[in-house]
Amino acid sequence: MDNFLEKTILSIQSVFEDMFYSDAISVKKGIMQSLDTRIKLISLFVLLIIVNFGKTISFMTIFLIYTLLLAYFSKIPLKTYIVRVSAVSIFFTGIVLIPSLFNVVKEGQPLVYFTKNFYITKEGLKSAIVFMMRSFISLSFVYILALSTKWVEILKALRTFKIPRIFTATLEMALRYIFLLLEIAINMFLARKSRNVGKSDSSEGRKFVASAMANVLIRSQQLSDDVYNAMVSRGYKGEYKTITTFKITFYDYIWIGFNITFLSILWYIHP
Amino acid sequence: MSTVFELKNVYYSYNKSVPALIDISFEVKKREKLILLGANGSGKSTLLKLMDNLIYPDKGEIWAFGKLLGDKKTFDEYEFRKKVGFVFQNSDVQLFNTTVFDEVAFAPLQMSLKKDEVQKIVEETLISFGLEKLKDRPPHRLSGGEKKKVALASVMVINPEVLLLDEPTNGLDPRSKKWLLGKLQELNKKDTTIVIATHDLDMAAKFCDRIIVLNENHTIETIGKPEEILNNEELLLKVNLI
Repeated sequence: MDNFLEKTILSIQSVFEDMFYSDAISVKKGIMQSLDTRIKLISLFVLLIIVNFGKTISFMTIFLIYTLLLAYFSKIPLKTYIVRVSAVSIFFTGIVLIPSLFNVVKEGQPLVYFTKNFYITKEGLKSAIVFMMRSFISLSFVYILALSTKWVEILKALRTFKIPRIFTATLEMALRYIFLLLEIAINMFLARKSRNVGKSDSSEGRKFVASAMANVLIRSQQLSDDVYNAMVSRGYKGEYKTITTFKITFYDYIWIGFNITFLSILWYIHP
Repeated sequence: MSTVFELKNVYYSYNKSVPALIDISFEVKKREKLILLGANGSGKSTLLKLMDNLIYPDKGEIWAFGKLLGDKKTFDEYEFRKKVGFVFQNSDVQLFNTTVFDEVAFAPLQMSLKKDEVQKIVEETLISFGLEKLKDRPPHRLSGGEKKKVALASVMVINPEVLLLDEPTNGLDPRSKKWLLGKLQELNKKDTTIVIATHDLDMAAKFCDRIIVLNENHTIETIGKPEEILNNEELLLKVNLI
């Protein structure tokens, strides 16, 4: 019971810590932080698409260096960044790619023999490496964007892309209330912990966490009724109107100029 | 003084079975500071929601500015929302936007004001409530007192004629409470009618022209001047306030 409760409390706390961590980075003065969020979103989206067309290791290496430099100049702590992104892109993607290394999946030039008819192919290894690099670079762009920008700004930028208001408004509200519900949940767990005497087994812990989840769900439903009332009270009539102020600055033009040049050179060497 | 609100024999029940308010009749005069006093569960919050046309009475009528609430021919919701502001008991309910600026801009935007006009009045409101430094902060990072300030600012930005407040002093520290009372006095001097639902006797003593006492049977126990009611120990004991 102690463990179960403790783990739940700690994981809720780590959500808050993560949020503080990204907020702290997003106010630093780095390359990504100085850009307009709309420009950031569009440019990273374009870069993501281009990376996913890449088929050679050299092409991927150029982009790998690009993302590492971008992370460095955006003041993103490199060690945590590499560990977190690699965990998914190298470890998990790696496991999925194991079968494709062997000749039984894809014929090719033998590289390492296990038996006469079962070996790792050169082509298999190459495509696995390209795939892992691609996933590392793609994830890096998303990671850099998420850390260098406040969520609120990302959602506001989405508003300007003609996405139906109902979707962006729902996302914004979800972001707003997720904290409130997490706070309610953590207080419930702490209250339970404060009344915990002696040892109790983990099945009891699971029961408590399950009932707490149901409780939070019911509360969230009541909350949604109240929030709706509060919106109606201030003139909401079914259409969520918002105001967004973004400004494109000198840095944005430099950024766009740099990327166009970079991609043109890349196109020239790697058509 | 003209009448802004008039309630006639209002009856409201939850799920059409559990009565929350029974036979409620009273008037609210323009520029008045009125307190709805009652113990927990006496129906104060429900009464405010009825007055804000968020829920509708099962029986009886509510008139606001000479028009019957919900009447299809004469009642104009847009005009009503512009004239009546409601500050909820739980500020978290009211602060549903992602930043303080968006929160204050919500009401004027819904009321279709022009964007530059909204920008201007929001800036002015933030300054007058001392919130300009918090404008880009998300509401969940604010203290209880700050949240209440933002909630009040988000309603006052459209300068309503009537302000309904549900337990406004709940959970506020003494300084925030003093600030709130001062702000409400200031608004009242500028002709805002103020209706507060509370069980805070201290607030009732400091801030009101008239008190309506609700009892635990969900009816009006009495209506009177603050000195008559707050010095009547027998009455306060009867309605479970002391």
